[in-house]
Amino acid sequence: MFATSRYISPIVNIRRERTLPIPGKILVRRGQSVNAMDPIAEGILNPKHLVLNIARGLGVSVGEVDQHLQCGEGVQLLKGDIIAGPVGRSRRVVRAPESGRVIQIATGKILYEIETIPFQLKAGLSGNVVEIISNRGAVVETTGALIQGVWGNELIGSGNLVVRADTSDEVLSANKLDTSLRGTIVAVGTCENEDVLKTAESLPLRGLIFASMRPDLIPTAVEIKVPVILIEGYGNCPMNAAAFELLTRNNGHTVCVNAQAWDRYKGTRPEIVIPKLHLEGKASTDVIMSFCPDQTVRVTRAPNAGQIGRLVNLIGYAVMPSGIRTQAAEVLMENDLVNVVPLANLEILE
Amino acid sequence: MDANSILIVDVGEISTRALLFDVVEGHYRFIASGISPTSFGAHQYNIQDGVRAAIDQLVAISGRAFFGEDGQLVLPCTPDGVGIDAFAVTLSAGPPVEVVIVGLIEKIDIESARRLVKTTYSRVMDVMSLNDRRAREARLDSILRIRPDLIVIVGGFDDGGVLSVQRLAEPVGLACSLLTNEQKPEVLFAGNQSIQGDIRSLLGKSANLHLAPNLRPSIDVEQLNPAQVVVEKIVTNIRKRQIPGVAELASWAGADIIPTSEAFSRIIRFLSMTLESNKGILGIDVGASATTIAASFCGSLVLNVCPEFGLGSNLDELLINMPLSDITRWISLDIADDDVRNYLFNKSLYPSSLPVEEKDLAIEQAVARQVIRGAIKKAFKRFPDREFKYTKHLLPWFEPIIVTGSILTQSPSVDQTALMLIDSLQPTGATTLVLDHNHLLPALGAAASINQLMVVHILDTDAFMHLGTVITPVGEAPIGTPVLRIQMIRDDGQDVNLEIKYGNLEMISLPVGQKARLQLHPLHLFDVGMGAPGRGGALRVMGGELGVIIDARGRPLKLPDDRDERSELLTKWRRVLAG
Repeated sequence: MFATSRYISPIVNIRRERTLPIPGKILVRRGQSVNAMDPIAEGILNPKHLVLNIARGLGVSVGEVDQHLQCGEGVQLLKGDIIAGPVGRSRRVVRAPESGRVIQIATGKILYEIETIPFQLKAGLSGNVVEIISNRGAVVETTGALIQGVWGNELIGSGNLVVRADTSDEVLSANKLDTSLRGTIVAVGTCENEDVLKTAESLPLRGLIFASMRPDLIPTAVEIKVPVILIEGYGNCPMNAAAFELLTRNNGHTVCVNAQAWDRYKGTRPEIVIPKLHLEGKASTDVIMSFCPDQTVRVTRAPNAGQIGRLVNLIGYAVMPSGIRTQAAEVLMENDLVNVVPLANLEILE
Repeated sequence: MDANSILIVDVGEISTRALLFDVVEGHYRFIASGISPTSFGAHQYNIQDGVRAAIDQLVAISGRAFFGEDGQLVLPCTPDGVGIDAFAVTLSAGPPVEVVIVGLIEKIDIESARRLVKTTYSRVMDVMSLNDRRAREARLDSILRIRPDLIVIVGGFDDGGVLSVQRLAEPVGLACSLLTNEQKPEVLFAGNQSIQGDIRSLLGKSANLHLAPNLRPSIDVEQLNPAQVVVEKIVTNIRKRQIPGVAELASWAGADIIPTSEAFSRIIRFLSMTLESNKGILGIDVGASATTIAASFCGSLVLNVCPEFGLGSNLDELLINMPLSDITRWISLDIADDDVRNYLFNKSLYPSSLPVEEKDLAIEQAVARQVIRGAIKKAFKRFPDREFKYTKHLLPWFEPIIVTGSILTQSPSVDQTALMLIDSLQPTGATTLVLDHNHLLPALGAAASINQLMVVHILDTDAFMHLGTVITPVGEAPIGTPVLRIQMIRDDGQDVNLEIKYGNLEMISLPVGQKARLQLHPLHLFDVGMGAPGRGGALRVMGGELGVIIDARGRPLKLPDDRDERSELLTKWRRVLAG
C-alpha cells in the first residue's frame, strides 16, 4: 500500500522549484547564492487596467485616432505623458492618468495597464540557484535539516531559531515573548491564545513554529505579517519527538521558514529548513513509498496522534475499537508499547 | 460487438479502484475489485501509479492478467485470456474547477449557469451580470487575478436582444488576449444562439471557445443537458492539464475520461427510465472531493455536485456552511465542541485517516449526516413540485434510494449506515435503501455507453446491499399518538401486526432473501405516499439487512434542545436498529 511520507531529517539535500503563477521577470542568475528572503522573480499578480477612449478624448472619429497617437503598444509612460494629440485649435490631448504601459490599441481605444508594485517571489530557502525557469522562477538547492509541516500562513521568514519550550507540549503565552526575541524565529509546543500572535507581530518576530494551534486562531494567523507554521495540526497536539529534538539541537542557528500551503496536487508543503551548506546530505527521495517493517512512522490521528514509532509488522486487516475493519500495522511506540494502527493513519518519516 | 470483459477504473481523491466485470454462465457479473490510495502529491506525482497498483491488486485477486509484456494494457482480450475487451475511467480527484460566470440576469440565465456548473466539481469565483456595478476594466482585472479554469457566458433568449451579452463578453475576450496560452481559461458560450457567430469572432482567436445550446432559450425553458455534455468534456480537458497522468490514462482508455459525478448520474437516470417508478430515484455519493446528489424523475435528471460538502481536504470549510451545533447535535457521546472542531480541521489535513476510537467514529458519522443533509437541501429547490412530494420542505417520494461512499460502506455495521441515511435524508412514504458497498455505480454509468446489457445484468445481481425498506408516515400529531397500523405477512405465512406511535422508530425483521406483503393503514390523515393523506394500501417488499424500518419520528426530524435528553434519544434509536 502506498504511504504518505514527510521529512523530519537532520541532513538532506533539498531542491525546490520556486515559480511565479504568472510570467514575470527573473532576478537571479544560475550559480548565484541566495538567502531565503531574497527575491528571485517578480511579476504583476493583481494588474489594474484602464480603457482610454482616445477618439472621445480628442473629439475625433475612430478612424482618425491612429494619426494622433504619440505612442505604440508596449510603451511605458509616466503620469501626465501625452498619449495622443494635440488636436485642433484647443490642442486637445489625452494624457496618461497614471504611470503605466500601453497594452493594446484598437477601435479608437487604448487598453492601459497602470503601474503597480510587482509581487516578488522569495527564494524560500537559503542555497544556490541551480536552474533558471524561463519567465517563471528558479530552482534553489541547499543542504540542511528539513522539517515539513501541515499548515502555513503563506509567508516566508528567516532568522535565528529560539526554542521557547522545555517540553514538546508547552503552551506559549504572550508574556513569554519579549523584546529580546525581536527578529528571531520562535518554536514552541502549542498556541491557544490570539494575544500570542498579535504580540509576535508587534515585536516583531520573524517566524513562529508551533506543534499545533486552535483552529479558531487561523484568521488571525493569516492576518499577521509573521510566518506561522504548524508541524502537527490543530488543537493541542504536542510536537513529535523527532521535530522537537531537531529544533532543540539547532537552537540559535539560522532557519528559513516557508509557510506555504500544503497542496497535494502541487506537491508543496510548509517547511522549515536549517541550512548546513558545509555538510553533505543524502539525496531526497522522489519515489513512491510503501509500508514495510523497520520504517520510522508518525501516527496522524488519535489515539497517539503525532507520536513517532517503528513499524514492526504489517498484520493485514484488523478491527479497530471503533469497529472499523482496515489494513493495519503493529507499531512500537515511544513508550515501548506496541499499538495496532491503521495504515491510513500512518506516514513514513524520512 | 458488445464487450464481454470490462475494466473500469475510478480515480477518487483518496482511493483508486479497479473494477472487473465479465460474463459468467451467460450473464454479466461483477467479478472483483482492487483498491489503492490515489497517487498524487509529493513523491506520488502521477495518478497512473495508483491506477496500476489498484489493477495489480485486482490481478492478485482475480488471477487475470491485463498488461502485456510491454507493460501496456492489452485491448481487446487475447484468446489466451490476457487483457480486457473494454476499458473506461471515471475521475473525481482534483481541486474544484474555478469558474467565472458572465450573464445578464441573476434570477434567470445566471441561475441556470450556476446550476450547470453545479453538475461538476466546481467553485464559482465571480459572477458578472448586468447589475454588476464594476467598470469593464475592473471585471477584466478580476478575471486576470482569478485566472479561472472556466468562464461560462450565458444570457439572452434565442429571439432576444444581442448587444448586452456581447458587451458583457468583451472583458472576457480582453482577458484571454492578455493571458498566456497555458493560463487561458476554457470559455463556454451557452447563450443566445443567434450571436454564436459574433461570439466566435470576439473570442474564437483569443480563447479556448466551446459552444453549447442556450441554457435559457426562453424565459420559461431551461435546458442544461446539452451544455452539461460540453462541460463534462471541458472538465476532462482541464484535469488532463492539472493532474499528471490523466492525459496518459485517457490514451489507455482510448476515449475521454468521464467525471465520476456524470457517470453516477447516468446510472440514476438509466434506472429512472427502466424501473418505471412513479416516484423519483435518488442516488447519493458521499465522497472526499464532493457529495453528489443525482435524482431522476421519469428520466428527468437533477444533478448537484457539492465540493463544499466533501469529506476530504475541504472539510475545514464545512463550518462556513453550517454552525458546529448542526454537527454536534447528532453526537450522543459527551464530546467537547472544541474536540469536534479540531477533528474537522485535522481530518482535512489527513482525509484518508480512519477513526480508531468510538469517539472519533461518532464525530465522523455526525459529520456525514450533516454533509448529506446539506447537499440534499441544496438540491431541494430543483426537485419537481407537488406530484412527487408531500410538501416542498420535505424530501420527495423516492423509490429506491441508492447510496455509496466510504463513510457509508466502511461503517462498522449496517444499522449505523442505515441510521445515518434516515437521519440525514429523512425520507418520506415508503422507500428502499440500497447500499452500493462495492462502489459500482459510477463504473456502471461509465460502462453504460459500452454495454447496456451488462449494466442491466449487474443491477439485477446481489452486487448491491439491500439495507431495508423504510416506511415514513408524514403528518402532525402529539407524541405517542398512534399514526400507522401495519401488518406484515411473510411469504412463509408468518405475520406481524404493529401499531406505530408518533415519535417512535421501529424495526420488523425480514431477512435477505425473504419477501412479504405490507398492509399499511395510516391514521389521523398521515401520508405514506399512497396517493393522498390517510390513504393506505398494500406493498410488496423484499427482505434486507434490517428488514422493515418504520420511522414515525416526524418530518422534519426535530431533536430535543436539552443535551442529555437528546443523547438519550439518539442512543435509543441506535439500539432499535442495532436490534
